[in-house]
Amino acid sequence: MKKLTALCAAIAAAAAIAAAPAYAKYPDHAITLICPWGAGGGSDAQVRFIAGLMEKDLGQPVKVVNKTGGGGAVGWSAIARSKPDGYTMGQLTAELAMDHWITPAVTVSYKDFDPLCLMNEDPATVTISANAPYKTYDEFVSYLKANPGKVRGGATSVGGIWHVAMGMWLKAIGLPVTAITYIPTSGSAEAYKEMAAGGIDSCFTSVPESSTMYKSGKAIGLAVMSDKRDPKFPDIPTMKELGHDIQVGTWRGLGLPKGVPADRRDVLVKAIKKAMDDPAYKKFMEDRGFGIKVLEGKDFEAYMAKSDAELGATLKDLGLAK
Amino acid sequence: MRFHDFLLGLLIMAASAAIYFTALGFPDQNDGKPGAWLFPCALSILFGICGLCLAVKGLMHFKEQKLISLIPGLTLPGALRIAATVALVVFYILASDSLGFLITMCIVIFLMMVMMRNKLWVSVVAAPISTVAIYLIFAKLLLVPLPEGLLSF
Amino acid sequence: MFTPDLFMQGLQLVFDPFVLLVVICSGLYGLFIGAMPGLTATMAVALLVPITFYMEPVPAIASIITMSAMAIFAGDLPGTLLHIPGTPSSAAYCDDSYAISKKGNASLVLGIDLMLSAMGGLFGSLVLMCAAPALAEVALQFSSYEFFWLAVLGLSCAVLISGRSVLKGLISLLIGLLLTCVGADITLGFPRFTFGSMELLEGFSFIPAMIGMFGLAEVFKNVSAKQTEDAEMITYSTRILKGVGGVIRKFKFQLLRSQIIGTLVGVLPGAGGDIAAWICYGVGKRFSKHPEEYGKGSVEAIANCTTANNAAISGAFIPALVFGIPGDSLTAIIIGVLFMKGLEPGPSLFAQHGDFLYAIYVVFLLANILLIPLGYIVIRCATKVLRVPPAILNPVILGFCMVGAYAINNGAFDIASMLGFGVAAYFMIAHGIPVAPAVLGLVLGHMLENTFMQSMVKSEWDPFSFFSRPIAASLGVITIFLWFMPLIVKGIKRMRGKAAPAA
Repeated sequence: MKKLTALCAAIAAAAAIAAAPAYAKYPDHAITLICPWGAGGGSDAQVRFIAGLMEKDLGQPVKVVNKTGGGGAVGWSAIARSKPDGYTMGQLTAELAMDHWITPAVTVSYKDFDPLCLMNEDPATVTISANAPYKTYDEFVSYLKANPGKVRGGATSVGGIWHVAMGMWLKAIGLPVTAITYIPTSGSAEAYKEMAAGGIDSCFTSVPESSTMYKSGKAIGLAVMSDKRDPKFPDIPTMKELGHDIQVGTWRGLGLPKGVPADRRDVLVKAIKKAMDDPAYKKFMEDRGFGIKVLEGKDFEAYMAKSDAELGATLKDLGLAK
Repeated sequence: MRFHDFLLGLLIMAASAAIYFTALGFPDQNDGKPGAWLFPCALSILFGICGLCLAVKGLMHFKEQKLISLIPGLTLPGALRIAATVALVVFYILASDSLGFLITMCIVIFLMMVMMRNKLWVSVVAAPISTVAIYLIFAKLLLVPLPEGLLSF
Repeated sequence: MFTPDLFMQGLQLVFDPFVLLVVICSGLYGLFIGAMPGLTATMAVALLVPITFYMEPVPAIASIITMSAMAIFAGDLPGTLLHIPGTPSSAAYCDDSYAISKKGNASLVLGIDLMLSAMGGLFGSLVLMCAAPALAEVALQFSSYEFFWLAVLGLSCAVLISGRSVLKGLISLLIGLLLTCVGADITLGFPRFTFGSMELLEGFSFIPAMIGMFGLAEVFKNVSAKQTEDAEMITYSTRILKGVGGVIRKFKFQLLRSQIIGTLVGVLPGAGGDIAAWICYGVGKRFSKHPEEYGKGSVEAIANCTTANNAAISGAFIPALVFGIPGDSLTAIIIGVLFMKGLEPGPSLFAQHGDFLYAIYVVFLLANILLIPLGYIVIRCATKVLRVPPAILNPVILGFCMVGAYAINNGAFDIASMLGFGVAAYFMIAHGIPVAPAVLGLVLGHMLENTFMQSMVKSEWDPFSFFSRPIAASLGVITIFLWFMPLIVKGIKRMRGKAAPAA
């Protein structure tokens, strides 16, 4: 019996020794980064780029896995359910603060994650077709007031981020959400196709999505829903300058399932921040027109909570939240 | 199992009715205009009409078919093999996450090869080779993240 | 429009050893991806993007263009040999290709696929070179009304592809359309028929459905066949190009028509090679001398569609390059890559970067010419697959079907949906209900409903708005004319028949 106990102890000790270095050296194998959006889109491009840079710092591969479906909810559920050992992280985007308000089947929300880092924010714009009878911001607003429901707007599906941005903007300037007739489209590309063909008069997409339309002269940007002007289009005023302090837009960041040990989280945050300081990353974001906004840990959580509450309230105004 | 056109028509009518009444519960647009229900309702009505036509046509040529017959050319062993194939796919769906791609796929391909009356040694050799080939193509070359489970390389 | 100076500069940019190496490698990669069921050209391009980031703009764009042209051709290979379309663009004529293969003439089909894909691609490239700005202006006039008619026109093909019984064809089409109603609806985001499942919120993915209805149903048929017959063994000869010249000469005007239709459909943002192939199938059958062969192995059908879907690829670049408006997800990625290279698509690309623009044209021509030798090698390798006995081949095909369906969303749900579609297709075939119209319904269902609802919301439910714009009105009239043409033709025949005895 004694021998057996001793043997057990020896095995346990051996196991402890074997296990200890593994704990000391996190990460010791590949990390999975779940992207809830399809390969080829803007969200996917961002995580793939940051994953490539994080690999260099962590010394282990960071594998991007696109788990798509359910407007992002399938991917987020997979992240939230994964083992909290620091080997699975995922991308959190603005839709996380919206889906659960609209669809009863979606229960996942920002509360199911430990935030790592906010990386990007692209504010909404007020954009009109170049063929419209109004040309300036003031003309557009007074036209809306005089002709309720005549202007047709679009940008995403119903309840998408730019639809919500439109709702917030209309509320801020004191108009009902029905002042613009919303034409649902599958995304900004379809919306601009409609605008070019004369089917839609106004759009509320982000600057990077609108920039080719601005440059080809088919659309005019009237305002950015942010507190800072966009460096690529410094002539477009912010909503703050126009007297309404509304800030809304899409955002992207990284998060972990709840319960990952703090020391591992710190390793990841450090790697992400180092990657974001890389000039190649800054150039990538600038070339694609993505806005850089960095918030860590608790600040990112507060940011998500604020976004969740604001977007939820507007979805209720639009008659979409359950 | 193959149904007589008359029965098939009735089945289609029943299905279209079920779709129609489910879709009636879908909401209008916020301004009261037709919304989510419009297309499923319209399509299910058309579907029902097609079912009715099929049933009537079936009645007109009632004696040409049996009410319920076997699928032409399908034998009992054949039907069992189809059922087994379905079962293997279901097994893969349930087991691949925990066992991983390599083990689960190897089992599925092996069992199916045995079912298709390959010699046992052929199956034993061919199943792992083809599994590894699929793995290399999809997971390594095309970067599809196949479930790793217990075994990976 | 055409500037020889810039063309020479473009040639110099492309004929650089590194660029040529990139073109050949990405060509082989594209052929491989296209031949794998479930892997789309879009996915392949997305995986290439991180690599292209470290390249110069010309090789980066060249690799993407070459890959997509090759992938659309390669989608025909598994369609012809195994009855599983490799990409959605090959779905329209998969039945015909496979039927001819089973008759022992797979080599003819593959030869036609290869030569006519290259010809279609070259035709589209020439149109891109000569008429891009003008065509882009027209394409941008297409709003939801015009796209609605395009969808209706496409759906009308269902009657033409339904085989013996038009009624059963319609039933199949409605099954396909009803399945596209699953998921969040466009006007409210209301989850329809999802039964509380997250995976169904965006509806069924098309590719697992396609793999199930063609590939898995075929596996079911093969495993249930009596072991002795081995009826599914396909024979082939190695002389791939024999007889192809004759086919091209015989159908030259039809092929030109399909190439024009293919390019034009491709130019429209949001409609690509898959819709182009379906429309050419329908149009080809309507005006064919042998419409009865369609669906049972018509060489004419294959030739028309395979050339159209390749022509559509070049077409899709037109609105992307001229206005920066992506025609499909593939061109959306390309616009993203152009942005990263500081080359913004749009008028400035034409005004300031003419040499680069011509380099793109040259790559298009080069890719389609290279398709012939590379494709030839791949066909020679692919036909080796057929030497594998069915008892070993079918389990492996099952494996490919499962992995292909999985790769769309990287989730097991799509394998389950592929299984469901496969079982459903098996029973449909057993009841004499053709599968192709259901696949067509799945392709066009969302476009039909979305454009209809968009148009109605825009016009405040005025049904005449569908005829209120010139292009929409003409498309509408054409569609209605095509519907009633058989009646008109019958009427004229009857009147002549009555008139004759009286005279």
